[in-house]
Amino acid sequence: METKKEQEYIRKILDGNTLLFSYFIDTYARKIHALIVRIVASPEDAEELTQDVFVKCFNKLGSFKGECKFSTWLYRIAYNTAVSATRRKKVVSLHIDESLLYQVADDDVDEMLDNDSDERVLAQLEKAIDSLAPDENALVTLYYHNDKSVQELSVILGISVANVKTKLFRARKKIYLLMKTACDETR
Amino acid sequence: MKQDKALRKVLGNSGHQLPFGFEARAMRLVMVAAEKKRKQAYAVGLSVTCLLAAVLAAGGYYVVSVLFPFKMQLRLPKVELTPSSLNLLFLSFYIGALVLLLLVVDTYVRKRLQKPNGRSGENVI
Repeated sequence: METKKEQEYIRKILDGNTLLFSYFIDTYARKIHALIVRIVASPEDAEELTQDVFVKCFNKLGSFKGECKFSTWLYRIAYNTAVSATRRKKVVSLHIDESLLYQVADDDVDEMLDNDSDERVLAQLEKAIDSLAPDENALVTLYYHNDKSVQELSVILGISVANVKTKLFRARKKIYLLMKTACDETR
Repeated sequence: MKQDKALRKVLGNSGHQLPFGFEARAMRLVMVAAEKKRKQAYAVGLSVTCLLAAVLAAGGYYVVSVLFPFKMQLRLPKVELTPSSLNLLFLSFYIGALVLLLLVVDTYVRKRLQKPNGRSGENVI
Protein backbone atom coordinates (compact mmCIF):
# COMPACT_ATOMS: atom_id res chain seq x y z
CA MET A 1 0.00 0.00 0.00
CA GLU A 2 2.78 2.36 1.10
CA THR A 3 4.88 1.36 -1.92
CA LYS A 4 1.98 2.11 -4.30
CA LYS A 5 1.47 5.54 -2.71
CA GLU A 6 5.18 6.27 -2.95
CA GLN A 7 5.33 5.24 -6.59
CA GLU A 8 2.39 7.52 -7.34
CA TYR A 9 4.18 10.38 -5.58
CA ILE A 10 7.39 9.68 -7.50
CA ARG A 11 5.49 9.77 -10.81
CA LYS A 12 3.92 13.12 -9.90
CA ILE A 13 7.28 14.56 -8.75
CA LEU A 14 8.87 13.52 -12.04
CA ASP A 15 5.99 15.24 -13.83
CA GLY A 16 7.00 18.49 -12.11
CA ASN A 17 5.15 18.52 -8.78
CA THR A 18 8.30 19.09 -6.70
CA LEU A 19 6.43 20.02 -3.50
CA LEU A 20 5.32 16.40 -3.07
CA PHE A 21 8.93 15.51 -2.29
CA SER A 22 8.34 16.88 1.22
CA TYR A 23 6.45 13.64 1.92
CA PHE A 24 9.69 11.66 1.56
CA ILE A 25 11.64 14.14 3.69
CA ASP A 26 9.01 14.02 6.44
CA THR A 27 8.84 10.21 6.34
CA TYR A 28 12.51 9.26 6.13
CA ALA A 29 14.62 12.22 7.39
CA ARG A 30 14.82 10.97 10.99
CA LYS A 31 15.71 7.40 10.02
CA ILE A 32 18.32 8.50 7.50
CA HIS A 33 19.81 10.96 10.00
CA ALA A 34 19.96 8.23 12.66
CA LEU A 35 21.89 5.99 10.26
CA ILE A 36 24.29 8.71 9.08
CA VAL A 37 25.04 9.99 12.58
CA ARG A 38 26.06 6.43 13.50
CA ILE A 39 28.40 6.18 10.51
CA VAL A 40 30.06 9.61 10.65
CA ALA A 41 29.84 10.09 14.44
CA SER A 42 29.32 13.86 14.11
CA PRO A 43 25.82 15.38 14.41
CA GLU A 44 26.81 18.50 12.44
CA ASP A 45 28.21 16.51 9.52
CA ALA A 46 25.26 14.14 9.73
CA GLU A 47 22.77 16.99 9.25
CA GLU A 48 24.59 18.26 6.17
CA LEU A 49 24.97 14.76 4.73
CA THR A 50 21.27 14.01 5.34
CA GLN A 51 20.41 17.10 3.28
CA ASP A 52 22.83 15.93 0.57
CA VAL A 53 21.14 12.53 0.54
CA PHE A 54 17.72 14.05 -0.16
CA VAL A 55 19.07 16.35 -2.88
CA LYS A 56 20.85 13.37 -4.50
CA CYS A 57 17.69 11.32 -4.17
CA PHE A 58 15.68 14.05 -5.89
CA ASN A 59 18.23 14.40 -8.70
CA LYS A 60 18.35 10.64 -9.30
CA LEU A 61 14.64 10.00 -8.84
CA GLY A 62 14.26 9.30 -12.55
CA SER A 63 16.65 6.35 -12.27
CA PHE A 64 14.54 4.64 -9.57
CA LYS A 65 12.90 1.75 -11.42
CA GLY A 66 10.99 0.26 -8.48
CA GLU A 67 13.01 -2.97 -8.47
CA CYS A 68 13.34 -2.62 -4.69
CA LYS A 69 11.48 -0.65 -2.04
CA PHE A 70 11.96 3.12 -2.22
CA SER A 71 13.29 3.12 1.37
CA THR A 72 15.94 0.51 0.43
CA TRP A 73 17.04 2.64 -2.52
CA LEU A 74 17.16 5.74 -0.29
CA TYR A 75 19.18 3.91 2.38
CA ARG A 76 21.64 2.83 -0.31
CA ILE A 77 22.21 6.49 -1.29
CA ALA A 78 22.54 7.43 2.40
CA TYR A 79 24.99 4.60 3.10
CA ASN A 80 27.20 5.45 0.10
CA THR A 81 27.15 9.18 0.92
CA ALA A 82 28.07 8.63 4.57
CA VAL A 83 30.78 6.04 3.89
CA SER A 84 32.32 8.31 1.21
CA ALA A 85 32.38 11.15 3.76
CA THR A 86 34.21 8.98 6.31
CA ARG A 87 36.73 7.99 3.61
CA ARG A 88 37.33 11.65 2.77
CA LYS A 89 37.82 12.47 6.44
CA LYS A 90 39.94 9.35 6.91
CA VAL A 91 38.09 8.17 10.02
CA VAL A 92 40.23 5.68 11.90
CA SER A 93 38.42 2.61 13.25
CA LEU A 94 39.61 -0.05 15.63
CA HIS A 95 41.19 -3.11 14.04
CA ILE A 96 40.72 -6.48 15.70
CA ASP A 97 42.76 -9.55 14.81
CA GLU A 98 40.62 -12.02 12.82
CA SER A 99 41.99 -15.01 14.73
CA LEU A 100 40.56 -13.57 17.96
CA LEU A 101 37.08 -13.50 16.42
CA TYR A 102 37.21 -17.24 15.68
CA GLN A 103 37.91 -17.97 19.33
CA VAL A 104 34.71 -16.30 20.52
CA ALA A 105 31.83 -18.67 21.28
CA ASP A 106 28.45 -17.76 19.78
CA ASP A 107 26.64 -18.53 23.03
CA ASP A 108 28.76 -15.98 24.93
CA VAL A 109 27.93 -13.31 22.35
CA ASP A 110 24.22 -14.17 22.47
CA GLU A 111 24.20 -13.98 26.24
CA MET A 112 25.95 -10.63 26.43
CA LEU A 113 23.98 -8.93 23.65
CA ASP A 114 20.67 -10.14 25.07
CA ASN A 115 21.22 -8.56 28.48
CA ASP A 116 19.34 -5.25 28.30
CA SER A 117 18.84 -4.71 32.03
CA ASP A 118 22.31 -3.68 33.17
CA GLU A 119 22.89 0.05 32.49
CA ARG A 120 26.67 -0.31 32.81
CA VAL A 121 26.70 -3.01 30.14
CA LEU A 122 24.51 -0.85 27.91
CA ALA A 123 26.92 2.08 28.25
CA GLN A 124 29.83 -0.19 27.30
CA LEU A 125 27.81 -1.53 24.41
CA GLU A 126 27.23 2.02 23.13
CA LYS A 127 30.99 2.68 23.22
CA ALA A 128 31.72 -0.64 21.51
CA ILE A 129 29.30 0.16 18.66
CA ASP A 130 30.94 3.58 18.23
CA SER A 131 34.34 1.87 17.88
CA LEU A 132 33.21 -0.26 14.93
CA ALA A 133 34.22 0.55 11.36
CA PRO A 134 31.69 2.79 9.53
CA ASP A 135 30.37 -0.02 7.32
CA GLU A 136 29.94 -2.37 10.30
CA ASN A 137 28.23 0.39 12.27
CA ALA A 138 25.84 0.97 9.37
CA LEU A 139 25.15 -2.75 9.08
CA VAL A 140 24.32 -3.12 12.77
CA THR A 141 22.18 0.06 12.79
CA LEU A 142 20.23 -0.94 9.70
CA TYR A 143 19.63 -4.48 10.97
CA TYR A 144 18.76 -3.78 14.59
CA HIS A 145 17.41 -0.22 14.54
CA ASN A 146 15.83 0.11 11.09
CA ASP A 147 14.69 -3.54 11.03
CA LYS A 148 16.02 -4.16 7.55
CA SER A 149 16.14 -7.77 6.35
CA VAL A 150 19.35 -9.45 5.25
CA GLN A 151 18.12 -9.29 1.62
CA GLU A 152 17.49 -5.55 1.88
CA LEU A 153 20.89 -5.07 3.51
CA SER A 154 22.46 -6.90 0.59
CA VAL A 155 20.94 -4.29 -1.79
CA ILE A 156 21.83 -1.33 0.44
CA LEU A 157 25.44 -2.35 1.00
CA GLY A 158 25.92 -3.78 -2.49
CA ILE A 159 27.21 -7.14 -1.27
CA SER A 160 25.86 -10.71 -1.35
CA VAL A 161 23.42 -12.05 1.25
CA ALA A 162 26.05 -14.52 2.49
CA ASN A 163 28.51 -11.66 2.88
CA VAL A 164 25.95 -9.65 4.86
CA LYS A 165 25.46 -12.57 7.26
CA THR A 166 29.21 -13.04 7.68
CA LYS A 167 29.75 -9.33 8.32
CA LEU A 168 26.89 -9.27 10.82
CA PHE A 169 28.27 -12.20 12.80
CA ARG A 170 31.73 -10.67 12.72
CA ALA A 171 30.43 -7.28 13.90
CA ARG A 172 28.61 -8.95 16.83
CA LYS A 173 31.77 -10.77 17.83
CA LYS A 174 33.80 -7.57 17.59
CA ILE A 175 31.28 -5.81 19.84
CA TYR A 176 31.54 -8.68 22.29
CA LEU A 177 35.36 -8.52 22.32
CA LEU A 178 35.34 -4.75 22.79
CA MET A 179 32.88 -5.01 25.67
CA LYS A 180 34.85 -7.83 27.26
CA THR A 181 38.06 -5.79 27.04
CA ALA A 182 36.28 -2.80 28.62
CA CYS A 183 34.92 -5.04 31.42
CA ASP A 184 38.39 -6.47 32.08
CA GLU A 185 39.88 -2.96 32.25
CA THR A 186 37.32 -1.74 34.79
CA ARG A 187 37.97 -4.68 37.11
CA MET B 1 21.43 -15.19 16.71
CA LYS B 2 18.88 -14.43 19.42
CA GLN B 3 16.95 -11.18 19.78
CA ASP B 4 20.03 -9.16 20.77
CA LYS B 5 17.76 -7.01 22.92
CA ALA B 6 20.64 -4.96 24.33
CA LEU B 7 21.78 -3.97 20.83
CA ARG B 8 18.26 -2.96 19.83
CA LYS B 9 17.84 -0.94 23.04
CA VAL B 10 21.13 0.94 22.67
CA LEU B 11 20.60 1.73 18.98
CA GLY B 12 17.01 2.79 19.63
CA ASN B 13 18.06 5.18 22.41
CA SER B 14 20.51 7.19 20.35
CA GLY B 15 20.13 10.76 21.66
CA HIS B 16 20.79 12.49 18.34
CA GLN B 17 17.71 14.31 17.09
CA LEU B 18 17.18 16.15 13.85
CA PRO B 19 17.56 19.90 14.41
CA PHE B 20 14.44 22.09 14.32
CA GLY B 21 13.45 23.19 10.83
CA PHE B 22 15.51 20.53 9.10
CA GLU B 23 12.66 19.44 6.83
CA ALA B 24 12.06 23.02 5.63
CA ARG B 25 15.77 23.57 4.94
CA ALA B 26 16.07 20.29 3.06
CA MET B 27 12.95 21.09 1.03
CA ARG B 28 14.42 24.51 0.13
CA LEU B 29 17.55 22.78 -1.19
CA VAL B 30 15.39 20.37 -3.18
CA MET B 31 13.49 23.30 -4.71
CA VAL B 32 16.83 24.89 -5.69
CA ALA B 33 17.89 21.58 -7.25
CA ALA B 34 14.56 21.41 -9.12
CA GLU B 35 15.07 24.92 -10.49
CA LYS B 36 18.61 24.02 -11.57
CA LYS B 37 17.27 20.89 -13.27
CA ARG B 38 14.63 22.94 -15.10
CA LYS B 39 17.28 25.41 -16.30
CA GLN B 40 19.55 22.57 -17.43
CA ALA B 41 16.67 20.98 -19.32
CA TYR B 42 15.92 24.35 -20.98
CA ALA B 43 19.61 24.80 -21.95
CA VAL B 44 19.78 21.27 -23.35
CA GLY B 45 16.55 21.82 -25.29
CA LEU B 46 17.85 25.10 -26.70
CA SER B 47 21.18 23.50 -27.68
CA VAL B 48 19.42 20.61 -29.40
CA THR B 49 17.15 23.05 -31.27
CA CYS B 50 20.17 25.15 -32.37
CA LEU B 51 22.03 22.02 -33.47
CA LEU B 52 19.01 20.81 -35.38
CA ALA B 53 18.60 24.20 -37.05
CA ALA B 54 22.30 24.24 -38.02
CA VAL B 55 22.03 20.71 -39.43
CA LEU B 56 18.93 21.70 -41.41
CA ALA B 57 20.63 24.86 -42.73
CA ALA B 58 23.73 22.89 -43.72
CA GLY B 59 21.53 20.26 -45.37
CA GLY B 60 19.60 22.97 -47.22
CA TYR B 61 22.81 24.58 -48.43
CA TYR B 62 24.14 21.18 -49.58
CA VAL B 63 20.93 20.43 -51.46
CA VAL B 64 20.85 23.84 -53.14
CA SER B 65 24.55 24.06 -54.02
CA VAL B 66 25.34 20.44 -54.91
CA LEU B 67 22.22 18.50 -55.76
CA PHE B 68 20.26 21.12 -57.72
CA PRO B 69 20.98 21.17 -61.47
CA PHE B 70 21.23 24.99 -61.51
CA LYS B 71 23.42 27.37 -59.47
CA MET B 72 21.68 29.72 -57.04
CA GLN B 73 24.36 32.30 -56.35
CA LEU B 74 24.03 36.01 -55.69
CA ARG B 75 26.68 37.98 -57.48
CA LEU B 76 27.79 41.33 -56.03
CA PRO B 77 28.46 44.06 -58.64
CA LYS B 78 32.11 44.96 -59.03
CA VAL B 79 33.04 48.23 -57.26
CA GLU B 80 35.12 50.64 -59.32
CA LEU B 81 36.56 53.96 -58.10
CA THR B 82 36.24 56.69 -60.69
CA PRO B 83 37.09 60.48 -60.24
CA SER B 84 33.37 61.26 -59.97
CA SER B 85 32.85 58.65 -57.23
CA LEU B 86 35.79 60.15 -55.27
CA ASN B 87 33.77 63.33 -54.72
CA LEU B 88 31.04 61.21 -53.16
CA LEU B 89 33.69 59.61 -50.91
CA PHE B 90 34.87 63.02 -49.63
CA LEU B 91 31.25 64.02 -48.95
CA SER B 92 30.72 60.82 -46.95
CA PHE B 93 33.84 61.53 -44.88
CA TYR B 94 32.67 65.12 -44.29
CA ILE B 95 29.25 63.96 -43.02
CA GLY B 96 30.89 61.30 -40.83
CA ALA B 97 33.29 63.84 -39.30
CA LEU B 98 30.41 66.24 -38.67
CA VAL B 99 28.41 63.54 -36.85
CA LEU B 100 31.46 62.65 -34.76
CA LEU B 101 32.05 66.29 -33.84
CA LEU B 102 28.39 66.76 -32.84
CA LEU B 103 28.59 63.63 -30.67
CA VAL B 104 31.69 64.93 -28.89
CA VAL B 105 30.06 68.34 -28.32
CA ASP B 106 26.88 66.65 -27.06
CA THR B 107 28.84 64.55 -24.55
CA TYR B 108 30.82 67.58 -23.37
CA VAL B 109 27.71 69.75 -22.90
CA ARG B 110 25.86 66.93 -21.05
CA LYS B 111 28.81 66.52 -18.67
CA ARG B 112 28.96 70.28 -18.01
CA LEU B 113 25.23 70.45 -17.32
CA GLN B 114 25.15 67.41 -15.02
CA LYS B 115 28.15 68.37 -12.85
CA PRO B 116 26.52 71.11 -10.68
CA ASN B 117 23.50 68.85 -9.90
CA GLY B 118 25.79 66.04 -8.76
CA ARG B 119 27.76 68.37 -6.49
CA SER B 120 24.66 69.84 -4.88
CA GLY B 121 23.36 66.28 -4.35
CA GLU B 122 26.57 65.33 -2.58
CA ASN B 123 26.29 68.38 -0.31
CA VAL B 124 22.74 67.47 0.67
CA ILE B 125 23.81 63.98 1.67
